[in-house]
Amino acid sequence: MLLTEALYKVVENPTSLQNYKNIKQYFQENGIENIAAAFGYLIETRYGNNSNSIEQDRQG
Amino acid sequence: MEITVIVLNKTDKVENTVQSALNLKPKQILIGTYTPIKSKYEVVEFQEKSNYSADLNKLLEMVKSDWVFYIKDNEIIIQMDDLDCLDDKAVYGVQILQDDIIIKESRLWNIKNKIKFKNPIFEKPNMRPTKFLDVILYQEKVNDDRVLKMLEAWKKSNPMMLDPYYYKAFYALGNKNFKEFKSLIIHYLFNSRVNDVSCVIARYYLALVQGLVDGETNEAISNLVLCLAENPLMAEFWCLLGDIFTQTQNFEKAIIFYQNAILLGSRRLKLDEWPMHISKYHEYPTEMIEKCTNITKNTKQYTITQS
Repeated sequence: MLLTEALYKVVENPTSLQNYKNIKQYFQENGIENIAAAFGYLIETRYGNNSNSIEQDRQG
Repeated sequence: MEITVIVLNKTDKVENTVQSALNLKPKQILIGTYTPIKSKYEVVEFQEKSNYSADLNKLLEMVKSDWVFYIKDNEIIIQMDDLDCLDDKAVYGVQILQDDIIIKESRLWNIKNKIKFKNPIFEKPNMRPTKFLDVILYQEKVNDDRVLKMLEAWKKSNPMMLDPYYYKAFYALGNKNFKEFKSLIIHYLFNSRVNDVSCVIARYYLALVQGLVDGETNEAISNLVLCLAENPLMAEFWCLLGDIFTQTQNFEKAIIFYQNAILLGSRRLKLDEWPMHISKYHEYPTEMIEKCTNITKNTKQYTITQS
């Protein structure tokens, strides 16, 4: 997925966990660790222990 | 290491600047001036204010040490860093505090790097910083009446050059001439062949005018997405998304974007090359989250009461 496409999805649905995971994955795959870690921090802070839950994302 | 401080006296207030530069324990202080001044340091008098960079380049030719520190005459040093063990090949950036905004500019370099000044009006070294020092300069705002005239002359002498459009655009924005700003900055962005920090910040201000002044929400969002793709840790970009959705009364979405500003902005590296609007990293989004939350709460209560 293109980064701009992933960011548009965040603008459309900013509560979706999956949208943030896509961005984190993009930066991980491109070796930009500090930004990937920042999105990891956002995911952990906002979604906490449920960050691996599919159900949480559906609700988002 | 031995440092030469160079400064150009444009506003006749150079004394405080020179005093604060003594913190660097310089070997030499070179002051360029357009009006006669008395000083115990080396003073070079220039005829007229027509090209600040050309005059600074003349000062560079008189430097007697290996290192040069450039400071503007409306700046003072408010925080110093350890300057031992500097890398000869690096160009060092410092933080410059302008009210609530921190910008980063190249200010210390070894003469081996053969740096020259560019830009006749808003003079700056021709290399971006490659490393940063934890040095902070406070910059006082000054109004230079000659700017517009100098910008016009610059544009006329270099009709194909894009930089005059950039500075003229921000001059227009400073005077709240939004139509002219948009026209000039769109020309600049369309023709620019690089996508550096200046371009991204120009696009951010374009999005700001589109979103908050002209109500062009979709265009503003498109530009903001491009800005976020370059640096999603800029709280300024997330806050503007929040502001746009606040303006369109989509408060629940706005709250999330303000939260993103706080969460992602807190992960920015302290000494990166991007500017920082300090209040957008905590104070402003926190205040906006509270306001938006109150509005949504009151709206819900009103709805329940009505039914």
